[in-house]
Amino acid sequence: MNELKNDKNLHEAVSRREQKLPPMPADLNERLMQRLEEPATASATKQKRLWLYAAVAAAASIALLMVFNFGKQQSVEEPLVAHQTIKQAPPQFTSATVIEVPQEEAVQVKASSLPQSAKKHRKVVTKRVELIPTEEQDPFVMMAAQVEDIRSRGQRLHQEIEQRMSN
Amino acid sequence: MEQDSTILICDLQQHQPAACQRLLSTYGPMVFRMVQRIVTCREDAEEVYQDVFVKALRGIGGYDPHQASLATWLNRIAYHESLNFVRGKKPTIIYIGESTLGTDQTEEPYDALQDEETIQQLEKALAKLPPHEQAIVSMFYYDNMSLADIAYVTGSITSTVGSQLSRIRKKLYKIIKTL
Repeated sequence: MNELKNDKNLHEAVSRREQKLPPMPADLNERLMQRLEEPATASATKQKRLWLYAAVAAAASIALLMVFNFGKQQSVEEPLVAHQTIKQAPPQFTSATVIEVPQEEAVQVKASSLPQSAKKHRKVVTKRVELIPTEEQDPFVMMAAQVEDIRSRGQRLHQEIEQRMSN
Repeated sequence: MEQDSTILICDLQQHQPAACQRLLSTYGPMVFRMVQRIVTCREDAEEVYQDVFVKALRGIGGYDPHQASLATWLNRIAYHESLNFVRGKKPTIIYIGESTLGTDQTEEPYDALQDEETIQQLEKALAKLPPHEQAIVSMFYYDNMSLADIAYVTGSITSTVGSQLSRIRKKLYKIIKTL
C-alpha cells in the first residue's frame, strides 16, 4: 500500500494526464438544464394528447356500440317482418262468409228485464265476422270465429236461463 | 459542507430547479472528469455527462448519505454510465492485457526517484490501460479517494481495489519495458 502511495512518478504521470483533459464546456450545464426542463413540458403535452386520444376512443367505441346495437335489432326484426309480409302472405279472400250469429230479433227478451251482464253480451253479439277465406283459412280469423261462437252460445244459454227464471 | 450537502439533497428531492443548478455547478466538473477518463470522444462524453445527471436526479430519492458522500455517489453513477457507454460502443481498441506482458509477476517496479523519462513513459503506458483501470488509477492518485470510496464507485470491495491497484501499477511498469 505504501509503495502505491509513494510512487511519485506514477502520481506525477497521472496528474499530467489529468491536466491534459479538456475542460468542461461552459454551456454544458445550460444544455443539461434545458434537457431537464423539456420532459416537464413534454409530459404535459403528452398527457393532453393522451386525454384527447382517450376521448376520441371513447366516442368511437360508443358510436360503434350504438351502430352494432341498432344493426342487431334490425337484423332481428327484418326476418320477422319478411316472414309476415313476404313468406306468409295474407290469405286471399274471395267471398264473404257469414258466421251464424244469433240475431238480436231472435231473442225476445225485454231489455229492461235483462241484467247488466246480459246487456253487455247483447252488444258483443251484434259483432259479425264476415270475412272468412274460402281456400286457406287464417288462423286468427278462425280463432275469432270460434270465440264469437262460444260467446253466442253462452249468450243463448244465458237468455234461456233468464226466460225460465221469468216464467 | 456536510450540512450544505444535506440541504442540497433535500432540495433536490423536492425537485427545485435552483438546487439542480447548484448540483451541476458544484459537482459538474468532477463528474465530467470522471466521464472523460473513460469516454475519450468529447461529444460522447458530453452525452454521457447529461445522462449521468438525468439518472442521478431521477434516483436522488434512493440516495443514502450513510453509504457514501454525494460526490462519491455521483462518481459511481458516472463510472458505470461511462463504462456502459463504452461497452455499448464496442471499441476496436485493443488494450494490453496481463497475458501479453509475460509471466514475470515477482518483479517489483523500480523505486520512485522522480524521473522525467519514467513519467513520460508512464503517461504513455496509462493510455494503454483499459478505461476502468485508468479510472481506478486516477481516482487513487489524482482524486485522492480512499480505497473504500473507490470500492463503492466500482461496486467492489476495499481489499479487491487494493490488489487491483498494485496489479495495475506492476502492469504499467511492464508496459514501459515494452515501449
